[in-house]
Order: sequence, then C-alpha cells, then structure tokens
Amino acid sequence: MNRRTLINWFLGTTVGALVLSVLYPVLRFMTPPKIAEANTNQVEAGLVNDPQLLEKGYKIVHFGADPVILLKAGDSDFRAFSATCTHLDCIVGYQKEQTRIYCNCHGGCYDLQGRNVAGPPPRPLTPYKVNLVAKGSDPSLIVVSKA
Amino acid sequence: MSKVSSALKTGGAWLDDRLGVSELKEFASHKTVPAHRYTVFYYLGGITLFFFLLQICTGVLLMLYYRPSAEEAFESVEFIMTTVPFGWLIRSIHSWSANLMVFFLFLHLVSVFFLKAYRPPRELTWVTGVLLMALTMGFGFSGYLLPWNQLAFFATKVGTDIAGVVPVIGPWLLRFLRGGDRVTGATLSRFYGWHVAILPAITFTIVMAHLVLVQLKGMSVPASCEDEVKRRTPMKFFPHFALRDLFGWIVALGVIVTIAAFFPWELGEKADLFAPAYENIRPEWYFVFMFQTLKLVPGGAIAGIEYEAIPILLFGLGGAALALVPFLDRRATRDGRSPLLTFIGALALVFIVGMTCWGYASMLPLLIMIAAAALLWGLAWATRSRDEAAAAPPRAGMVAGAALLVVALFALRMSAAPTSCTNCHQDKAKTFAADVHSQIGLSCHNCHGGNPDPKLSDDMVKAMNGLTAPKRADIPAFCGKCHSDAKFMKGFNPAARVDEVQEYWSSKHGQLLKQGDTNVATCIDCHSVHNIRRKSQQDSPVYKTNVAETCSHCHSNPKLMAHYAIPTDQYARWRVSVHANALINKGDVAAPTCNDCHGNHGAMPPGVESISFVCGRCHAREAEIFRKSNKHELWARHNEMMNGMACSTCHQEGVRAKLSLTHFAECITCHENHSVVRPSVALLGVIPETPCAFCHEGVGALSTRVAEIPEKAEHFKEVRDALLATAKAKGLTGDARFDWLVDQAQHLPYHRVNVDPKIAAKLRPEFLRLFEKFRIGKTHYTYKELNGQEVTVAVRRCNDCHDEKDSPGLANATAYLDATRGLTSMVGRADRILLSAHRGGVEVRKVRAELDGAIDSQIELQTLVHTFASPDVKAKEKEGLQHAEAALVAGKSSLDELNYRRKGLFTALAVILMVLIGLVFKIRVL
Repeated sequence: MNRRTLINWFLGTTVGALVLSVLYPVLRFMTPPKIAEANTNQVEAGLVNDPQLLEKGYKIVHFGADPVILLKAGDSDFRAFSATCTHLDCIVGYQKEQTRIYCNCHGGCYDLQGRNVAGPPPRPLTPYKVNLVAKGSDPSLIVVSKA
Repeated sequence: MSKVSSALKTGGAWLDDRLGVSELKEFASHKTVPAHRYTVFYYLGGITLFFFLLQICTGVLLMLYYRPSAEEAFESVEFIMTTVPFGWLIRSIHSWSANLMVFFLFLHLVSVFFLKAYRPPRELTWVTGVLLMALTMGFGFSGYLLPWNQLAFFATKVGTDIAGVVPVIGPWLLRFLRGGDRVTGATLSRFYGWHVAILPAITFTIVMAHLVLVQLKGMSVPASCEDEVKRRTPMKFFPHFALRDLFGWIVALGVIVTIAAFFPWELGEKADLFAPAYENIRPEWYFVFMFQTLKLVPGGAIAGIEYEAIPILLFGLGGAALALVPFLDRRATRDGRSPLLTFIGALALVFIVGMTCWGYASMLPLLIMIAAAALLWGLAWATRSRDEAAAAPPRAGMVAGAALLVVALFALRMSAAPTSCTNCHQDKAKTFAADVHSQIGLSCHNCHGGNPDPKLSDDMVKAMNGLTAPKRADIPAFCGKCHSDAKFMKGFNPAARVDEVQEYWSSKHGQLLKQGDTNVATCIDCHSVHNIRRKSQQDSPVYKTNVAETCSHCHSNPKLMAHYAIPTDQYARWRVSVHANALINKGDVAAPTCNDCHGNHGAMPPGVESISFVCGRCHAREAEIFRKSNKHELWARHNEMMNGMACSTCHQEGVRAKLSLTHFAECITCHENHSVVRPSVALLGVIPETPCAFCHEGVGALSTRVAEIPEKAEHFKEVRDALLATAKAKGLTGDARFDWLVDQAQHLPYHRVNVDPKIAAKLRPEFLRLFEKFRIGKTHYTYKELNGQEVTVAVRRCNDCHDEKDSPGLANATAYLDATRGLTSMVGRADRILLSAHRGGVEVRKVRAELDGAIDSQIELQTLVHTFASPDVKAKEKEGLQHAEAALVAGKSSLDELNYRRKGLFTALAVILMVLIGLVFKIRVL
C-alpha cells in the first residue's frame, strides 16, 4: 500500500464516519418521540336518553385518544366496543336497520357482540364494559370502562 | 469481487449515458482558478453556499414537526427543542447557520464589490448575487416570525409597519405582507408559505443561475493582480480548489455544531398580542442599521409623504443602485479601477457598521468586521505564492472606521429674578433658587408680603411694608394660606391635596402645638425652609428614602425627647429592619418608612391592639391567617383578662412566660415594631447547628431517594469544614457561630455574581432567593450609628416566651422547621441540577415550572407559620415536595441529556478533525 492509497483510504474512512455522524442525529430526529398519554380507565358517555343514541342508536365516545362505539341494543341494553376496525384502522359506524356494526372503508361487518361476521376484518372488536349509574329520579348515566 | 466491480462499472456507464457525468468531469478537469493574493476571497461564496445548503436540510427536517398556526407554532418549536431527539441541534443549526449565511454573504458581496469582480462579462452574476441577498433578507424576515415568540412578533409588527409608510402602495403592501390589517395567525401562515415554498423556489432558480454563471464565466481577476496571475500557475478547479473548498465547509460544520451545542438558539416567550413590547426591542442584526436610521427620523409629513418614507425610499434606491453597479461603474469596465465607487462603497460600509454599532450601543459589530477583515487578510497573506514571498503583502482592500459624535449638554439653571429682598438676603436667595416655589415663579413677597421692586432696596420702610415673618406656632397657618386654598393650588397642580394643615392639627404634633408646645415639628422641620424640594425629588428631606432620617433629627435627640418620655432608638432599630434594608439598601420605594405606619401630616402612633391592621395593609395574607388562628383568639382573651386582673390570679409564680409580657400586641409580639428584622428560621428557636444545612443537607425521604450530585456534595463538605474550623479558631459558638456562618455564606464566591471583594456582595439570584424568600437569617442584627454607637437587635424567638419543655408549641415549631428545611434543601438541590443543565444549553423551562411550583409552596409555607398549627403546614410541605421531586427527576434527566450532548459533540469534532487531517494530506499529495 503506497502513501497515496493510504491517504485515500484514511480520507474515505473518515468521510464515511462523518456521514454516519451526520445521519445518526438526522435519523433520530426524524423518529417521532413517544409521548406519554394519560391512562383512561373509564369515561362518562352521557345519559341514557341522549338524543343521538335515541335517534341513531349509537354514538362515538372519546375514550382518551381512542374512539369507542356505544350502541343502544335494547331499552336498557347498552354495549360498547372499540370503534377502530380491525382491518385497516377506519372508524366503524352502526347501521340501525341492519342491526350491524359496519365499516364503510372496505365493507367490514360486525354483529352486536362485536364479532367479525363478514368482509375483510380479521378479528372481533375489543369489547368495553358499560354500567348505568342511577341518579335518583334523573335518567341514568352511562359509564364506559375497560373490560 | 471482479463481478462486483464489473457490475459497478456497467452501472456507472449506464448512468453516465443518461446524466453526462463524463462531460461534466471533462469540463471540470479543464476549469482553473486564477492564483493570486486575493484567491482566498473566492472561498467566501462557497461558504455562503454551504450555509444555504444547511438551511435547506435543517429547514426540511424542522418542517416534520413545525405547525404554522398562532395556537401551535410556539408549542411545536418548544416540542422540537425539548422533546424531539436532537431537535435542539437541528433548530439551533438552522438559526445559527441562517445568521452565518447572511454574514458570509455580506463578506462575499463586499469582497466582490471592492475587487470589482462585477466588470464585464460578469454583470449578470453580480445582479443575481444582489437578488440573492435580497431574497436572503426575505428569508430572515419571514423565518424570524415562525417561532411565534414575543421578539418575533414585535419585530414583524414593526417591520411590516415600516413597509406601510411607503407612498402610494404602502397600505396595500402592509396588508399584503400581514395577510390582513394586523399581525395575527394569518401573518404567520403567510410568512410560513413565503419561507418554505415561494422564496425557496425563487432562490433555488437564482442560485442555480448564479452558480452556472460563475462556472461559465470563471473567476474574475482583480486589475491589480493581472501581472501576478500571468506569472503564477493557475489552480485546477477539480480537485485542487474543490478540496480546499470542502476543507472550509467542514471547518464551518465543526464551528456551527460547536456553537449550536454550547449556545442553543433561545426559544423566548410565546407571543402575546396584547403585552407591552420588551425594552430595547430590535430586529435581526442585519436590519439594525435601517432600524436605527428610522429611529432618527422625526414624526411629520411633507407634501403628504411621511418623513419616515424618505429613508425607506432611499434604502430602496440604494438597493436598486447596488444591483445596477456594473452598469453604473463604466470606469471599472474601462481600466479596472474606480476610486469614486470604492469611496462610495467604503462610505456605505462605514454607515452600515456605524449604524449597527449605534443600534446596539456597542462597538462589537465594528470589532467583528475588523476581525473578519484581519482573518481574510491573514489568510490571503498565508496563501501567497512562495516565490513571491518578497513581494509586497496584499492591501487590506477595505479600511473603514466609525466616527463618534460627542454632544455636550448644558443645563440651564433657573434663577430667581432679583427683588428688593434678595439685595440684602443674598444667602437665602441662593438656596431659594432651587426651591420648588422659586421654580414655579413665586418669590419672597408671595409668602411674606412686602414690596419686591428692586428699586426700593435702599428704602427699607417701603420695601418691608406689610411684610410678615411667622412665629413657630403660626407656621402651619402661614403655609396653609396657599396650601389649604383649593382654587389657588389647582392653578399650579390640579391634583394637589389641600387638607395637609387640617390633618396636621389632628396629629400628635399639631395637638401639642395647639397646647403651646413649640418644640414639636411643624411644616418647616420636615420640608425645610427657603430650600423646599418636591417630595418626588431625591434630595428632598421628605423623599421616601429620606423620611426616617428627617424624623430622626428630633426623635433620636435625647435632649428633645426627654420631655416626652419616648425612646430615642427607633431610627437605629428601624435601620436594622427588613423595611430599611429594602428601602435604603435596595432602593425599593414600596418598602415602608415612618409615615407609612404613623401617617405623615396626621402623624399618630397606632394602637397596639390594632397593629395587624397597620401591618396587614401590606401583609394582607399573613394578617388574615393570623386573625383566624388560635393564637389570636387566645391573646385577645388574655388581653381582656389582664384588664384589672393580676398575673398571679391564673399563673403560679415562676411558671409565667419568660418575657413577662402582660399584653400581646399582635404582630409586634414576635416581630417587634421598629426593628422588624426579616423574619427567618432563627425565630423558631430550634435551628440546626449550621445555616448551611437548610440548603445543602437534606432531610426527609426525598433527600435519600434523590441524591445530591457527588462533586457538589463533596465540595460543600470541604467548604463547610473549612468554615467551621475558622469559627472554632475564632472561638465562636452557638448563636454567634450561626450568625457568622450566615454572613460568610453571603460572601462565598460560589454564592455571588461578582467575586471581586472590593465590589459590594451581590448574590446570585438563586442564592438571593434562598436567603430572602426562604428566610435564612441571623439571630442578631447590628446597626452602627454615625456617632459610632452600635445598636444590636436580637431576633425574638419562640423559646423567649415558651419553655423549651412546654410542648405543643415546641412540637409545632420543630415540625415547621423540618418542613421548611426539607423543602428548602430539595429546592436548592433541584436548582443546582437545573442550573448546571441550563448553563450547558439544555432547555429546562418545563422543569423550571415544576421548580417554581415547589418555590411557591415554600413561600406559602412561610406564610402558614401564622396558623401556629402543623396540619396546614404538613399539607403544604407535601405539595411542595411533590413539585420538588418532579423537578429533581426532570433535572437529573436534563443533566444526563447535557452529558450526552457533550460526548456527542466531542465525538463529532474528533471525526471532523480526522477528515480535515485527511484533506490536508490529500491536498499535499495532489
């Protein structure tokens, strides 16, 4: 190895190291930092006579940063599931006439137990627990919590 | 291996066919750079280009997190600076390289101008360069607003407002720039659009044109170097010049990374559209010369054009003239030189640098320019041809200086017009010239009567006709002739009070004067006579800081006071108080002096039972808490019982309180009246052995959970042991040693801003807070009077009244002391960690918020001492400790971040150094 080759090798290696030491912070910068989210265990989803529930039979509840679908399946039968379609992350809705949970993105279908019954979804929707809290003579309050 | 190399060759050939790399190589191999003494100036453009490229790279990265709206912009930049990994580095490089780009662009422009490199056929290269400069300023102006902080907001407000005064198009231009009538979120979105899309698109096109023109037309040779260039072998552009250029770029990278690591770009405070502007607010440094010029323009208009518009138009014309220099400078085209243009350029340079210096009220801009010129000159000299070593060194090319204009101001001294009185009473006339009455045009006769006609000086009978000189007892009425006449006084001062004399008669002084005691104070004893100042004048005897001394003229005089049987040490005792310290030593005119508690014209001593109402005017929270306390109720009941009852009715002889107090006068029972020393932990009577313990020796669970930084703990022990050894040698023990240590702590160099012992001790803000807000203080205070007599005041302590064995009180005091010490030491510890991280450049504002929470709790804890109950104290201590723990944990992670940054920086600099060494070797073997 002559002097010229040695210098080229040395320069090449150090330039390579320089490129790496520039790329490292750049890639770290581009990777979004994890932001701690408040841990939500239960939310108040409104009263049992909520007009939206009475009219459409469902409403989307903000469970922390997650959407949860709250259904009115019967007079005092309220059910809640994760509203995120297990197929490709869309938010599902409720079709009152067909009594099914339906995802408009790719036609994913779930029954009122949250089971994936038709279309592409690979898994059932995660169920949430629903409690009705009576407040004297006032309509009961719907409380959704993690199952 | 051979397969790989043949694949690479094939791939290379494929690319070459499509991109024409070999043609470019061929072109580059023939391209040369003239070698002469100014060759070093050719690198300035390259460095500017490097910073421009850095701007693009870091700017694109910042766009990944930046959110251009008034609601989120500041928060997103804060997020970048505090949460995103290396966000602080990317943003700081972006901001610093923007400034360095402008600086090098300016140097590049100046060098090209003075070397006349714009001569044909390079006119368009020059024009595109000037356009790039304008675009760069546009980048600077639009980018400055994006962090949406106070400074940016006001700079944009002022900058866009200036554009609004341009004749005819001004109003349209203002709305065009702001996206509305005001600087709002709409302006921010608009500036963002300009900064990241419109300006880059235009700039990229012009940069490409500029670079292509430089390559096509080659480097210009200054007329003075043409012979030298002929003698010297030109330098090959590739690789010789390009490698040197690369060397400069990598040095610039090292410099910018180091600056960014040690001085991360400030974040400031979020823009508040309704907050007053900061003091000394000014735009980015490269606009300061224009800003300063505009400040000099008076308000007004001529022919419908505002004066302000004139310099703006002139700057516009100057910019246009700069762009057209190649077409204006015909002489340089002819014979390569143009002394007139060089002279005009030098003048402009002096103007720009001079105005910038003026704008900053500092010579730093001039020094920076001189340093840059010296560096370039040095590089030019160092890179001169070896065979021309004997030749004359290159001329600096540009020598500029700033001239300072000194304006002397002469104050006109008003003097009273001569009257018949002043001819005889010359001594009084002399002092009366500065009297407030003289200054508003009154003279002797307005108060005393008589005939002031100066011609009557020799006719005393006529001159003194109707003249009165009041006796002491008549002085209030004499002054009241005018000062109680609302109609008369309003002629001089519409807001003047006219009830002073009335108030005076209600005062103790007035009452005694009425009874014929002429020794008491009247108007002239406080305000002086014939030499009266406004009370707002600092040399007035009734100016806030002089009141106590004025009162002391009588009240500290034992002879005068003997008749009234009142003490004469109030002034000396007040001088050791926290109030006097604030007023006299710190100039805090909100601090109380005699008249704030006793009244001024209606001076009366306040009744002892209602003292908390007097103190509570300022210390409202403390008074409120105290009045609700058990102690207040007990004292009130005790005072009631003492009316007509003897102590022995309830107390057995010998078991009474140690101070033998019979009546408890609220605040002053513990704090005393005149000598209200700063209430400190010393009042509790159960203080630790050394005052150092309050900040440095933690107590409680948190102190064991979060340890002190080992080096700091070690250093503290060394200093404390040395101090204790000195105290022992001096024979100090107990309270005397505690007090001596408090004094020493305030003079330790680590606690002070200045270490020069000749300068009065000024504590660092964080230590000042510990001593003042956290109440670390002495047990005794001394004031030395002018006559050399010393007055020593001992702090009144819990155990002055309570037996130490007597317990719920002692238990409360101990619990309170533990609470305050635990919190103080944790705040001190968190503060030390934060300061280390902050000084290293880590953004710590979120941690600071937690620390502020702990400090607030500590201050509230101090107030709660007036509850005399531990449950409230415990709750507040717990709240404070929660904040302190959060601050400590976050502080530790900030410190870890700082260590990480330092290691990263040194690694990067080591790599950069290696590359530079490699480049030097490479250049040498070319």
